Amino acid sequence: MTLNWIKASKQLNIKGLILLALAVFSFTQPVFSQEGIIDTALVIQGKELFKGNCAACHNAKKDMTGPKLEGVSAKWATEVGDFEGKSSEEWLYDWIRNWKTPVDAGVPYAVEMQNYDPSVMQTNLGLADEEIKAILYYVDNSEALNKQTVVVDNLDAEDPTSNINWLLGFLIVALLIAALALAKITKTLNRAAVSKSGVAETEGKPFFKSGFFKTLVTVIIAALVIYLLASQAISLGRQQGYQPMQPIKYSHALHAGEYAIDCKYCHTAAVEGKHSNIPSTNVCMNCHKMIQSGPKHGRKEIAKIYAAIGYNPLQGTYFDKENTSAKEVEEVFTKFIDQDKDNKEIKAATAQDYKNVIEMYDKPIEWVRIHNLPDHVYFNHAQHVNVGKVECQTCHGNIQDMEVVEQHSPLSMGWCINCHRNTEVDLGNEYYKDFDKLQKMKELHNSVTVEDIGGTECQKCHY
Amino acid sequence: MATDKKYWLGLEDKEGLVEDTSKEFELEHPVMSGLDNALTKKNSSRRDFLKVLGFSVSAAAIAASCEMPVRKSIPYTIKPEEIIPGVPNYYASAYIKGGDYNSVLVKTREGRPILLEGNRQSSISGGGVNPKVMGSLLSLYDANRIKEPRIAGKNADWNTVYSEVKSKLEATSNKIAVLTSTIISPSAKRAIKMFSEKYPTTEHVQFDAISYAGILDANQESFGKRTIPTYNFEAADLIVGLSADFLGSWLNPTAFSVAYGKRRKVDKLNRHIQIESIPTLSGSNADLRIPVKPSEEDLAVLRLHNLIAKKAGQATISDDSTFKNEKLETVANELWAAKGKSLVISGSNNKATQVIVNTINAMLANYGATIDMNTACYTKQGDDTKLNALLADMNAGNVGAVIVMDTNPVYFLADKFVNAAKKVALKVDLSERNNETTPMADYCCPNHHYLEAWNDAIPQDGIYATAQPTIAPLYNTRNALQSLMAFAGTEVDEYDFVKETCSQEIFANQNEYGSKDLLWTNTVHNGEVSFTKPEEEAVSFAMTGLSAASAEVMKASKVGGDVQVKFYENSKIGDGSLSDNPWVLELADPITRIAWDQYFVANPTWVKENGLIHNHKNKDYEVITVTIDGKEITLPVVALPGVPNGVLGVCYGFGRKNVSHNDLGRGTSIYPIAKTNVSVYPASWSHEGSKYKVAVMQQEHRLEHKGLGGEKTRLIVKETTLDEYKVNAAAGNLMNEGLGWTPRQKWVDKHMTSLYGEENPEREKSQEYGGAHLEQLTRGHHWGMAIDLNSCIGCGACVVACNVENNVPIVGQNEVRRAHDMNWLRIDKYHTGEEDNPKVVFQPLMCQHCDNAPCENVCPVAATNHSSEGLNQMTYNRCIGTRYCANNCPYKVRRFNWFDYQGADSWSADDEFILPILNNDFDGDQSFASDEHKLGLHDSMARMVLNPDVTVRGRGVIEKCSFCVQRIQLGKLEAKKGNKALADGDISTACQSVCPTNAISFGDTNNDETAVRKAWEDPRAYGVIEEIHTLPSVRYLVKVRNEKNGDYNA
Repeated sequence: MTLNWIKASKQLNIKGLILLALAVFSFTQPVFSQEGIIDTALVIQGKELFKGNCAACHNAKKDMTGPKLEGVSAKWATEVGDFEGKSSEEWLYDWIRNWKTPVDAGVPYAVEMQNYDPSVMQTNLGLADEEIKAILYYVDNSEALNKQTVVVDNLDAEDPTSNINWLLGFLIVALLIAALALAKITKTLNRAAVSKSGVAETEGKPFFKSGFFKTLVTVIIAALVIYLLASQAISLGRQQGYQPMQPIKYSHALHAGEYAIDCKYCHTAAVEGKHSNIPSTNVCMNCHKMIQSGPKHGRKEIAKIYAAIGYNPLQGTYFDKENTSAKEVEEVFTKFIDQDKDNKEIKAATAQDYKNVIEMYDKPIEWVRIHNLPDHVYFNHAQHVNVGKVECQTCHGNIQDMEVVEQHSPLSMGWCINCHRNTEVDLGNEYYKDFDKLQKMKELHNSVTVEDIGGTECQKCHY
Repeated sequence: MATDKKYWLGLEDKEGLVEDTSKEFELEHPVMSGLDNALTKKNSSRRDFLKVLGFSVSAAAIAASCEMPVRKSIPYTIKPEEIIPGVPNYYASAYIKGGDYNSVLVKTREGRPILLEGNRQSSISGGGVNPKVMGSLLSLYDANRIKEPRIAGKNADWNTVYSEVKSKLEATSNKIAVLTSTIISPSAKRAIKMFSEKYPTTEHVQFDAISYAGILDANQESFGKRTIPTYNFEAADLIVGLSADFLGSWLNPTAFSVAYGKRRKVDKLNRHIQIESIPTLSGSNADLRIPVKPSEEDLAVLRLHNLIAKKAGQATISDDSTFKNEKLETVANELWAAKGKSLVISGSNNKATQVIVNTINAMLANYGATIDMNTACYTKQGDDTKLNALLADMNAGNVGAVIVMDTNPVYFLADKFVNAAKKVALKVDLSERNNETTPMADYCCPNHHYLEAWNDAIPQDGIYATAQPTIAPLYNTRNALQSLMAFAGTEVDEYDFVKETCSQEIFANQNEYGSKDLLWTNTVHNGEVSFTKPEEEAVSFAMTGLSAASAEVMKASKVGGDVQVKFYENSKIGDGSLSDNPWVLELADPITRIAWDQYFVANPTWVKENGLIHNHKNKDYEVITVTIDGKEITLPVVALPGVPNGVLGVCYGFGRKNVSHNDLGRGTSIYPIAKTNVSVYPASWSHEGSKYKVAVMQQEHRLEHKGLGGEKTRLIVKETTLDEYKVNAAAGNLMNEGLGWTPRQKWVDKHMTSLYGEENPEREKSQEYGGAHLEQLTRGHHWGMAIDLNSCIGCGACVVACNVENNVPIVGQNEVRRAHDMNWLRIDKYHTGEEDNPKVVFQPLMCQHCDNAPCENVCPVAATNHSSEGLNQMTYNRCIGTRYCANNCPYKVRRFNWFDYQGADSWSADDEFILPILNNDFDGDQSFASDEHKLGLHDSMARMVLNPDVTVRGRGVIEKCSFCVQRIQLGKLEAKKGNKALADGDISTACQSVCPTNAISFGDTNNDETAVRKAWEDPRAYGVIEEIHTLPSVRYLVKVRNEKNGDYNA
């Protein structure tokens, strides 16, 4: 290790510096907390299968529509054991494919579990043994994979320049201190030498009173001030990292991440036109008419959707708004939220929570807009999402991991332009078939960027 | 040859009074001048400096420390299926008001109408939109709308209003009058009929503000049928208009413009002769305009009749021999030669005149050819006899109730109605906006705006049209049909009611659609459907009453007085029902190029002789007082070439009361003086020396005629005659070279050769992308426009459409006067020839998107530059307002935002403290008055009309035509989304989409297939002042006049 370090610093090898920084970083944090070696491939396979077949109702760590699944194999082993010549594992596989099989066979634990509230489990007749094995393996090792990906993400996200900057900064400071110390020493020695030689000591001007020094300091201060002013002024109105509180604690990590719902299922207009719309409440109801409780906040957040659209979750009907008193509405939602009271996993609703829900009754939901472009910028989602086939994450970041959405990109003009300079255009679109020059360019360079089709001209975005 | 002609913008220009364009920006920038004074004044001190410094620093600090506001994004609770946020929807609807009919496509964004475009499927209004109709869009968001039903001026609820009106109607035994404008809606007629069944004493009286009773009554006499026929301008080879401004105001101007435009294309050019006194749009477009005095207009009809009667071998009638005009003989000869293919129309409302016109058309065998008496046009049905009888009844106290619907009788009939109405116990008004009539109504039942309502129309036999709502009612209003039915005791739904009318009256008379629902859905979708009207007996012409008519005409033509005053309808204001609309008012009148103001037009010589010449520098016009029948009109007088000597003209429609802003009620109403069947009045006049600043734009933003060779060596407009064109398609397309005139093509061949000469194979190889220099210009898109000067009639629809599409601000009268108008597109009016009867060329001028643009080179911050698609781009957020570009633009099409006209700056429009500071300069006299800003789109309701795709420009930046770049980008995006190549017609500009005559084509000039490319290759095509090598992307097609030798010889 030490050898490596010397080698790296001698050659001023940037890669080496980064590796070093990462190595230090990685030693300070344990990567694997689990014992034993984990079959990552199996976990990943299991995760995919879990997402596709189970995630709508189950979670590894917590109870949802279905019970939490971590440790389910162990539990069946202890609860069921061998029963009527079949192992607990076989019975569990049967249960997963069709829960009726073990119930009909009279497996006691299965009979007990069939009454699990709130709903009846679906059948999964198509799952092979191997697949179920993978799912169960994932369920027991879900966290390990998470941890690993976190580290991998960190590797990706590491900004190499910042490490160099730190090191360079440290070096400069150290050198400066050394230089000052040396100067002082030299001066003292000189003075000593002079006084020894007996020549009268002439009182020199201290260095900070010299004209050169004054000028230097002024210039440095002025440059700093100008730099700070300019950078502050440029970033005025930019909101990178803006992460406001929303009226509903809606989690993209849950919807887009865990359940992998396509972005465009809700943000439909992004394909068609300028805006990527916030879905209208009726779109929420497509799923939430059935799913009445969330894993983290239970019913009190979903109740807000019902309030906004005027849905009575207790009866499964929409309120007759003209003939429903405010009191009735209040009673319905209080009763609905109170269903969570016995659930220890969920934080009890406060008085304010009840009030928030009831206040939203029969009103459109006022979300806080996160991505704000200045009025003089024209941006069209369809151009990017539909025509350019740009992934939503390119600009919005890993939305599927965000519990609360924040502005990922600076949304500055430089940021736009940089992307336009680097992004390739798909000339396969029939629209470009008569653009001989571009087609020829493509042949020669194998690359035509947005800039080449005029994507950095003023009036592509400002009109 | 065209080269001998001198073109002038106005009299000042003709007489060389106008200074050259170097003093374009006489005004200092208001803030700059203020600061300048504060800093450089002799007595300015350290304190002043500190004040300015302190202000700027603290302002910057405050602005910088402001927190970013929290913006909300509120989705629909239940999203309507057809709305996608950010994507416009278009709905076919129609403007049906006061007898006017215009089929339109309404562009809506998130449920708000923001633009009207022509409905090309309409067989009546084609793709045209009248400028007034375009303006009516703003009336939807007008602050002056009635927001609640009212009883005696106080807000009330609908049930109370309905039950009170109903009980009062039931209680009256007297006559109940339903007073309306011309009703072309079969649903409204059905409602009135059902109302009459409930109240048998009901009488329905229709009247038109500008009466057409003359034609109706004349047809009653000649044909036994009181209808207006349909005129086919497309079929007529020769049109003779006698004081009928059919392109601007007469009957159905938009429909007529569409048909007329089809015959102004050079391959089937018709001939148009206009005989008139006050210059109109029609007269300005005519191949031959014959000026006569107003009193002679009807005598000319008489003379024409006799000249043709002689040829037809019919009896002549007595004639005024003192009236001399040799031109009329030529007209008669031409008419006789075009027998069966000609059209004679008269704008007179004198029944006698119209009887004679009928006879002329009958002698020329035009009935059945260009005039269809069997297909009636319903847009004017007013009956003055019935109206007068009703007013007499009201005065006699025989009328128990008056219900006013879709008209404004206090304004149109003035005292006649006011006095009579005092004797009526119950007055109900169904207007949508506050007007002169609303204050005197006992009950106001506000109607929907037409864009909020279901309605229908039969504008002429065989065409049924529907109007659908494009926005939910903004206020607590109800369709007038519903109110009328509610008075009769039936609650109806407007949708069901109109649909029922369609099923009842149209379904049986058509066989295109098999079911009633199919018929309804398709009609609503397309806007119109044709049906066969029930068989009627064909009418035939009977020559009666001619001698009585001639006597009456001669009697009416004896007009004494110092001057003759003609009351006329101008093309943008019309009868005045929309004259409180800022968009309409800000549009420069095509003839006088004056916005906002009312004025007398007079002969230039007469003006000179009477010492009434205006001061062209500060636009001070002399104010005169004209007395007619003891009533005075005081207005400024404007010299207008083409007005006969001793004649004054003044238009209807001004002097509105009870409007939302003082500036919207300028001028004087002439309705109190006007008599329905008289248009010429003897008058005396006096001049007291007072002056008035008129908002005239004629001399502003002028192009320099002066080329290198000296005076007027540049042809800005080019024209030729049909005869010359037939010999040489490039006739008239000349350019000045070395003080001589050469054909443009020759000039192009000489000066526009490639720098690289002939294609060089060696060079070709060395080029990376295989292209020569010109390759750059021949790949990808290059946007261009072509304007056919032959088709453009100068109506101004494009100007208003441009303003609406591009959020161009309204600046108000005072600003227009100071040349601060913001129009991106203007229509220049050039004159040539005699001052008393000039020939006119209209030239729409917008940014020419020069490929070698002079403006781009001088911008210090590169705020204006060129795109790879040939657009001259203007970037507002980069502009610092030096105005160098505007100074260097030879076309004068760049506009500077002197003030915050639209409330675009960060300060709230309601901020009474900030706005006056922002909008006043430090000297005080060049301010933008604090209440003037309220005319613009500051009101949060009015701002709903803004186009969300276009930036609202702030103070201190230059703006100009962008070729509707937002539409270009949208068109390209749609093509890419659909994975297809861009086709001609996929992209249209706003001006193009409303043009009734299809004068504008727009598209990709690099594509051989496009209409614009073909127009560019036409030998008639030229670029304005292209001799200075600006390489403009707008090309004009030389105007070809169907002029005959001797037309304009004295």
